[in-house]
Amino acid sequence: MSKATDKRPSDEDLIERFQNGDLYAFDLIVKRYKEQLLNFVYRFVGNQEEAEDIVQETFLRVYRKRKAYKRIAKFSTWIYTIAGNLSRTELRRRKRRKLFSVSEMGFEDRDYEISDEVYNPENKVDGLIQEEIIHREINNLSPRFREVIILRDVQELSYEEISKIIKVPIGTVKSRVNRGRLKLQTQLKFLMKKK
Amino acid sequence: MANREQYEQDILDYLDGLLSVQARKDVEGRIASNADYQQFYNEIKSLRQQLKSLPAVKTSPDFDMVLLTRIRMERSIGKYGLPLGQMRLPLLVSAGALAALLLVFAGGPSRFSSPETSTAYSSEVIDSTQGTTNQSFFASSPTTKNVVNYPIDKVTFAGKGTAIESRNSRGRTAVDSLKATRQPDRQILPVEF
Repeated sequence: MSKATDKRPSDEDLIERFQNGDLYAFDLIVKRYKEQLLNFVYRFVGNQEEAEDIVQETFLRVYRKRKAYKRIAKFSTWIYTIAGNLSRTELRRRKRRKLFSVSEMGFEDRDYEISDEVYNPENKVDGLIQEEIIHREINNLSPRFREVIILRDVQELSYEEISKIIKVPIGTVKSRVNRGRLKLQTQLKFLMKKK
Repeated sequence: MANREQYEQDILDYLDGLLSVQARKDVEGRIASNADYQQFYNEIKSLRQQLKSLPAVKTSPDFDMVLLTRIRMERSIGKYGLPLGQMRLPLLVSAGALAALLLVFAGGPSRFSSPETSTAYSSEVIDSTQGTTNQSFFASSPTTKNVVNYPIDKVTFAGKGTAIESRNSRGRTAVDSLKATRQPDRQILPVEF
């Protein structure tokens, strides 16, 4: 069993093989990363369809820019950086669109506002609604807190790796993670009490 | 207040496993002895568990196929030296230039916007008020038809091979006009609707 695990090529081996023309290695990279990238991007942009597009674009960029990868960096850091950059671009684009259309928006169109009815602690909150509330509250965080919370608490990456992905010092990452957690803890206090 | 913030920070670091052995013991002692700290610890712990256990989303079944198609397109375009991302602007510019050329060579905007548009494809046009004929741009086209621009209330029909018999302000029929202005070997124009 452990021998089989040892034989599993590392991400860096795969990208190197791909750089040398082995398309099967690229296929393995896609299989290895598509779900975890989708989960990261989905929690970041809040929409599965857009998330899939971004993940597709991420793999296309890996394909296109394969020669740009240098083995000194972890492959996961590189691919997460690409996906994170594309997600931030999408959020900026969305913000611009929102700025132009905000005057035409009805109350029901304003995203991420959870009704008082849902927030009422007296309500019976089943699993699905609970997940939805958490998902919305994550989306309510500003992107800089949201990204690090997802990477740290959902994807369980190390502070060091997050620091490399988003290109800010480790101390800043820790501070953002903790501030994000405190915001979520305040907003989701009633859910925590139910536990 | 600063003390509280510091303690929250310590608990967050404790849960992240970032504290030394001595600091861990210190935090554990305070959690056990203080209800507020214990509540904060439980809430953050619960929050982290909930975030970790959020359901994973799956890629759609056609994800691989779509990606493969996009990569194949990328490769085929790549053979001509233009990556997909850089293609968009030149493609738009080329399309715009092609459309402009088509407009120029297919008659130009003035021809399309003129009142004669509806007769642009006719081989001969008879001006009802002047009683003269004009050669149209597509005179030699095999698909053109003879069309007479006559007010419908002034047109009479004389059975098969109908000719125009209404008179204009000078008292001449279209047939008279044609005879006066055209070669004698030309036929009288039939009316087609």
